[in-house]
Amino acid sequence: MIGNHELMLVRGQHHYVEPGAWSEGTAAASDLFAASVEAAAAPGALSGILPAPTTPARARDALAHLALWSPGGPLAAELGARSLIGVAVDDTLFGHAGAIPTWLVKLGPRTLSDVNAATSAWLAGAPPPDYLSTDVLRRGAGGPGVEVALSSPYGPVWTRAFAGRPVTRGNEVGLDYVAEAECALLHATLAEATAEWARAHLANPASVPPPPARGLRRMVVGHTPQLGRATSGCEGRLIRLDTAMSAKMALPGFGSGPPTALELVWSGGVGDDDDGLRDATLIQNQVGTPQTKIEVPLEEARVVIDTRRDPSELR
Amino acid sequence: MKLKRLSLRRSVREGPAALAGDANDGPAVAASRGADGAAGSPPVASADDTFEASPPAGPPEPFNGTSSGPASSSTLPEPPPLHAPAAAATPRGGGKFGWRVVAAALLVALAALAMHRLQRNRTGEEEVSLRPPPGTPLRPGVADPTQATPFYAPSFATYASADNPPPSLAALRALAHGFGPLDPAAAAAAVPPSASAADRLTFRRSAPGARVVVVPDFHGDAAQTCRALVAARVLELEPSWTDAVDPADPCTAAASAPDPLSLAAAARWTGRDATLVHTGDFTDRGDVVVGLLALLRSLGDQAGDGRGWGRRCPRTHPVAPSDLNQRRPVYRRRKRPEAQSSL
Repeated sequence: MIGNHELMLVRGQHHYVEPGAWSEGTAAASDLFAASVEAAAAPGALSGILPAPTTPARARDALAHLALWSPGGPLAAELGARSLIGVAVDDTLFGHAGAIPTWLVKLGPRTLSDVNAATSAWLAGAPPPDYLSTDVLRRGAGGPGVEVALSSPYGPVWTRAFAGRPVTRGNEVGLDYVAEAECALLHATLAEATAEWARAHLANPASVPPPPARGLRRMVVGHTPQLGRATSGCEGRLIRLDTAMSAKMALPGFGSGPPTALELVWSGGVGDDDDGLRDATLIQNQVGTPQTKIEVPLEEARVVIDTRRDPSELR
Repeated sequence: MKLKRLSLRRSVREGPAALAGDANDGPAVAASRGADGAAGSPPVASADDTFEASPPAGPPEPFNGTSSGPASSSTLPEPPPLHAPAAAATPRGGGKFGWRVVAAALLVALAALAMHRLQRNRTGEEEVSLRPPPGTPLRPGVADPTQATPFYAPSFATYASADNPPPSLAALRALAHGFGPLDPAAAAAAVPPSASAADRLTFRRSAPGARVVVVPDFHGDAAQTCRALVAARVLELEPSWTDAVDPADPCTAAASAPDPLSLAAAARWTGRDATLVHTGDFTDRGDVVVGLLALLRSLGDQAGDGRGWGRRCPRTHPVAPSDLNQRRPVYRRRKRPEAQSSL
């Protein structure tokens, strides 16, 4: 997945780059480009770096980062070759912050694939593909381009709609409504992605695999750190996996989170055939303590996911 | 007005002593106003104060002693003249309580700000405001995406200032390409060539019975990333790496490795046909970013991912039953009923 911090790096926003990462990037750029970093650090060339470099060494580092991560740069191309905005594997939809149906609707039909393709082309430094079903993702062709589209605070890279407990705490009674709205948005997201998958399969059944028999029924996101351990919501259909396990993400009073992974294993459903359904098991390995596994419950979904259905019936 | 009524009750309850105590509070006020305020009577009063200070049927009460001098604390104050111009009013009541009200409001605001900061710190994620306040003038000549499409967030224009002008994307690309030759063919090969390829990239079925392993945001911490991948049984480190450090936790060496790419060189994929998904945000905040990207590339190459969209899904439905029977792993073979096993 491509997160908001990768997006910031590609866009030249170096607000969160640490000293170690500065030197690492400079070393990588020196290796890749035969020590042309110093020569290219001409005064005035860095007028647009954010935040503005303050020292010559920092200016050199910023230039190296810019060269590595700008669209068409080696690290950006590597990122675009392997990472996506949203992907569905078996019965699970993955995203950094979570796909938003309203955001996708504004971009046109069959959009998750389009967003992935446009993002890959943008990171590779290539023009947008011609087969995009919408012009919104093409810069200069009636749309702002995928770069600006992805920077939306309500898009799949930045949104906090699936963050769980709201950041700004309000009335405690209102938290139920927040959870209801989150789950309603989740069900709409899963239904939309399932329908898109089915449409893609019907359009080209030879190359695109069919969706699972019961559709997408789970979404896994990161992006918003949860305290202590990964959390789940909406009867296990939403898994928020970010536990702030980086040491630099340590919170005062909580520390950094444990190393966290999620394992999706075939649930052994009906018949001998793998029907695509997976059971989720959370793996949290705190160093010095035995590895703990926590089953993430997910009730069997017997209903056909339908956006017109009342979300309370689905839960 | 409420504070004033409280003061009234207190004066009634405690008698002239409280009034004297109140009166001692404001000699400076009385001195500053006493030039024209003869006999302790307020020189002028606003309409509100007039209404408050002279109740129609109230007891003879010098409403508070602040504005009246100490000498007149026990005498009845003159009612303010009804023809006093309201425009020349002096905030008499505010002179006693106004600063307290302002201080209380300031305290409340500070407390709210502190609570807000506390809530933000609990989440650990600094909110970056992507939206300028409405009506913010942008620099001339800068294309503001918010003007054309207000749905999207602005990019560089948000952070633009006089000493920090926004760059153009063309300038950034030119700068990046100025470092060295890029292979346009290799870069373009990563782009899905057709709509169906993009769909195949987006919608995948893993191999039957295979695991899907998801790891969350790394944020530049190589050691924690290594621990999570080892716990998920998709990564092993080379014995040379393991022998050099604590065998119980070989990933500790990743934090202090001099070469960030060495972790990728020592990584061995043990996930077999598993699918590894990371949820993004492996960059920033930490010290190892290029090393983590190299680690992900190494694992992807060993897992047979290739260049992304092409060879990820080895087999799709429908699966031939004979093929499935041959390839079924042992751990998920289900026990057959007794009647069938005896046959």
